[in-house]
Amino acid sequence: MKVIYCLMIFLWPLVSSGQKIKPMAIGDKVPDVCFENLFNYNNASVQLSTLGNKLVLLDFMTTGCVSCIRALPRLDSLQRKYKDGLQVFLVTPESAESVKNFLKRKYMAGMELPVMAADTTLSQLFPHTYISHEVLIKNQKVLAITYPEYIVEKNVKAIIQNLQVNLPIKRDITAFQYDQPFLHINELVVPALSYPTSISYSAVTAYMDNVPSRYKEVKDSLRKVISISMINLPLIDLYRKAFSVPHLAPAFILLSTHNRERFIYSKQLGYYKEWLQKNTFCYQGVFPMNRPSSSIQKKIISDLDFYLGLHATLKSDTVNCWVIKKLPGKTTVNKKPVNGDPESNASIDDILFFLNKDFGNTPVINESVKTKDE
Amino acid sequence: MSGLTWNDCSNLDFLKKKLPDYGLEISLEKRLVTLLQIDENPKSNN
Repeated sequence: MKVIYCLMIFLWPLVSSGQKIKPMAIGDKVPDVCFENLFNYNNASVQLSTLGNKLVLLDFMTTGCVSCIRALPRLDSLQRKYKDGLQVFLVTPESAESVKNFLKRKYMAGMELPVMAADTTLSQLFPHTYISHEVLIKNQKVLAITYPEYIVEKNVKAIIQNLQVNLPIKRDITAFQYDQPFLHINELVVPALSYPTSISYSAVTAYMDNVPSRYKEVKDSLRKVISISMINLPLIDLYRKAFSVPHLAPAFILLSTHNRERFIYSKQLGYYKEWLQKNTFCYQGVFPMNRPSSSIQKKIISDLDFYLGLHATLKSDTVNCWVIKKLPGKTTVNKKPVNGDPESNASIDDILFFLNKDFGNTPVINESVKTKDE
Repeated sequence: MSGLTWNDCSNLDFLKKKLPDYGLEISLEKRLVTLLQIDENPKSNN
């Protein structure tokens, strides 16, 4: 009851007439909320103000999110090293029961990261669509709302020392209308009756900040056009989509370039977010609906080649491959991993994924489902 | 596959030894596969 009372008092000014909590922005003063349903912590709840001038990191995640789980050793290491100046909280909407099970997993053993279960309040204060989502608070003031890759020692240490650090703001733009045309007729000049009945074009733009990557195909029967949009995709993904091989693994992709960093991100290139800004593009093609899909596909590929200064082809070739086969007379056991837990049982699909995930590797194919006679 | 972790999945030498325990083998052979070739095309940049 005490917890509910304190939440009501401190959140009251933020609650609008629609009973929704007003989202926080950078620089805002955070209400003195109680962090409840805490596990792996000294207490079951803690009030933000009692954390003093410690840097508070809220890591919004779920226990089934693989990338979130992979970041935990890094967060745990920061928590241990800077325990006097930092307090990390993993925040999840999942139930207390789920969190208890999560904490029993092998890789969580010994970790000093508190987990806040069944959260509804903090996710309203810091709304997001994609996880992990990182919020940094100090002296009850929002210092940053950012991407997980920026939660590294260099930045955390500087913030603890009250140094100025400019981290990019993570805003999940969920209202982006993927079916809207890039090209607009100047409505102020062209009267509605003069609008063309149909427009065909193709366009490439640079990266659109914070708009999630997506492929969208829309048929407009009124204007008799089909619109194909590929938003914020790296070069390889644009071509994979264009050739209708969206899941073709890197080992099956041959790059002939002196500029691999244009195609492939690696940690040596700096922050992934900054690489995306330079190396991802948006494409939209609006074509007459009566064109055969093969013709539209050729047009998209030639557009990409032209605009991006590349030349791509899809071909069949006989090459050396690692082939996974069933041993005669043996029974294959193939269990699926549970909730993305890396410590659980890997499947043949996992083997294919990991061995085929690097460019330049010999491709690996699975023939274990074939019988001896095939 | 009981006991095989994701870390093991990237280790080809380990898999060569371990897969027979699961009734599988892995060997290098020629196969017809689909490949996506992307070339930088300096002519179109000029």
